[in-house]
Amino acid sequence: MRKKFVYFILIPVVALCVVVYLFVDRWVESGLEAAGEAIVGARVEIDNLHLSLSPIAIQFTRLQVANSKDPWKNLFETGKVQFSLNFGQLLRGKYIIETMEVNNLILGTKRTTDGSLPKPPPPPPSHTSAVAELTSTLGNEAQKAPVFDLNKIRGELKIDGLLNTQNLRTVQYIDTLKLQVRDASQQWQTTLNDVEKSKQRLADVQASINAVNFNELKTVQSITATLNNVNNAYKGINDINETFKNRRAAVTSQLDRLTTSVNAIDSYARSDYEMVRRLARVPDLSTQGIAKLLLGREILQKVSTYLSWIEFARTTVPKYTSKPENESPPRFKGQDIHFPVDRAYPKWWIKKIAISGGEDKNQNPEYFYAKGEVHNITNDQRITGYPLTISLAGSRAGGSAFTFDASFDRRPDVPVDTYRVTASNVPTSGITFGQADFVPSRITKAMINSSAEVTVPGDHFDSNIKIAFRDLALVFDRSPQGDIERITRDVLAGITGFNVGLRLWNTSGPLDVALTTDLDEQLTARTKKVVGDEFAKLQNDIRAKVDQRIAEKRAEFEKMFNQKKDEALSQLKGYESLVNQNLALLDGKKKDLDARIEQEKKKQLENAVKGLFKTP
Amino acid sequence: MFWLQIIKSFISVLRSGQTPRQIAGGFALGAIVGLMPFFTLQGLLLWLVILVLDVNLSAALLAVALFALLAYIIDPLLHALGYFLLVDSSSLHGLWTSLYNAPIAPLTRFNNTVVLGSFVAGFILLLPVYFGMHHFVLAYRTHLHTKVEQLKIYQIISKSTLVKWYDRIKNITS
Repeated sequence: MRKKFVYFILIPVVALCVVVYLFVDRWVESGLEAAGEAIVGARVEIDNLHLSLSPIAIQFTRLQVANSKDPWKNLFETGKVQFSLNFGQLLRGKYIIETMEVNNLILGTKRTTDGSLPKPPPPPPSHTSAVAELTSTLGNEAQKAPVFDLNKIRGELKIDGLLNTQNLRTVQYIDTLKLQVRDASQQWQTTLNDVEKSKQRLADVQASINAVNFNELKTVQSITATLNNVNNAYKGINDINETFKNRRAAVTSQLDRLTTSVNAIDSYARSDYEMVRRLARVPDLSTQGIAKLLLGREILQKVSTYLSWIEFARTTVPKYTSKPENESPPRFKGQDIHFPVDRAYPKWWIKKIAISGGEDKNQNPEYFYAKGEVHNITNDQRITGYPLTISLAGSRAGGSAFTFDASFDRRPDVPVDTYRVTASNVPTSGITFGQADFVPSRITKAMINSSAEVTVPGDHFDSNIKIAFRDLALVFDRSPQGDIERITRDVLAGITGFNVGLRLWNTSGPLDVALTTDLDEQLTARTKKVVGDEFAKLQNDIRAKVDQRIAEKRAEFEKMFNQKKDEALSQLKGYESLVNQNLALLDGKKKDLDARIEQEKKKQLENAVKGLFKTP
Repeated sequence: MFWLQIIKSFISVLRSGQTPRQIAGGFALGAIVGLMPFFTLQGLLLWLVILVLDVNLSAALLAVALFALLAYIIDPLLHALGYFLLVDSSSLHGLWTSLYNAPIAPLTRFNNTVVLGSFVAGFILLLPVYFGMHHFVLAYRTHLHTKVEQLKIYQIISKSTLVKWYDRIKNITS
């Protein structure tokens, strides 16, 4: 035996081991705290950690995890926590915990020290996830507010300024119509000029017909020749008549089109009225917006806070790790031959955390005590084959209770997170209600029942949240200003509860937010009843001024249009009458000539018969 | 400088001082360590054995250096031996599978072809190296040492300024 080795190496090594054994608890405690702080972003404190070597187990008496968003409160704190590590897997460098016992889990406890960590430098800009984008959208959504203050509307209402002719589409439309009428009028004039030329031809025909003297027509041949002339004249007039009819049809059709266009002025006038009303910010009382105005900002901001935790879980729960760890290359590389394994384990795996909420007699009525189970916390769900699941139920003195079920599935290529949360009989106070300029108030007392279902598949998001306020008491921060605010206050003073539904989702496009509440119906009905007349008067004023502005232009246009139309129609009518007159004249002459021919034929026949019976 | 001192010490030891068995034992154990890659459980244990047993450290260190160089040269052979044992010898698969699933055995990295090949080669060479070294020491002490001390390389090493300085500092600190 080498004595020097024993004295100078072995004994110091043993002494070092003893020192390590004495201080290992502190080191492990600090290591776990640092790891927890890196994940949570706030102070993590472990009290009285003890590491035992046989079996390899850790236990500590208390764990506090500070809330990074409210560092003077804990996210949760626990009583005694203990767990043992699988020694066989530990020798392989894997941390496998079968069951971790967590006693006395309490949520949201107050801290005596600040739980915040020194702020790290801001992270570089990265890919915006759906949840982060949604949080931003909610912030913007919460700032939107329609104007319902009647006095404000009255004060700001400057209709004349809005009635700029450049803004009114009706005026522009009438100007366009004017141009169309002018163009049409020129076309009509050309047509009428052509017609005028035909008039001369008609007059010639008329003169030649009038010149026919029946006394001079002695023979059948002369009568037949005259009849042929009349027939030719008739044919010519018919041709003129056909041409005239075609031209008249074209003019009439154009007139009909213009008349239809003129009738469309009414619909332009209506849309102009709506436009001016919108510019004047006179609200339509059918809009479901008052409750959103009252509740939206507070609820959406609260939801934004919870969404940030969902984003935290989404990014923190590890995706499966199939790539090997970075190892220093060995001196001689060789080739690793793998053999069948009875059971593969990930780097770390807490199979089950059993959480107990403590005994009733020890419960502080101020806090929620939670119990439940958490399964399969691991760095590689593809090896374990299980998703991380959390099932918690909490309650506190006074009947308040909640359930929280969540699943974080990192096994498929697209990670899927689901949450189901319910809360019942949760007394609340100090909820901001309304806005600084509209029914500023606070809910000083209320009972809330709520449920939420959230699914986050990859970068998509879908959530349904239902909140029911019951037994609520409101305190208004100021006297009502304006009719709508007064009405809203009256309505709110008379209710003891209302329901809110909130859906946030995105499929492939931008994120959508839908906030519904039964407060809207109550408020709208009451508001309509009381201030409907006021709004109607405002609306009528706007309508009258719009109509007046349009009417001037319209009258001017209609005068011109009617004048042009009448001119064209009267000329057409005169020409039509002339043509008809000529046709009638020709018809008469033709009939006379036919009668005369028949008469001559008869006369000649009688003379021929007389000649046969005459004795020579 | 360190290695010059090791060689000088080794030559001194060969001449007198420790027994031939101590020198041969240190050399044989060092040979196994030198053949194997570092950072294996069995390598650590072998170092512990070398340090605990009263074998010659200079011989062990020299063997480590010499056989590490040899291992680098014959690495393909060691890989082939390991591959044969791990893959081609189907009768051993049961043993390897059991070890693979055992708690501590994976720390030996036995499933690496070079690790297993060099370890087995080291054990096969253990006795030949031991007895060979034993005979060499005896032969050196009886016949060779006068010839070696007359060699120019020995003169250079023993009279090296660096080695003298090292000896002086060593004497001051001891």
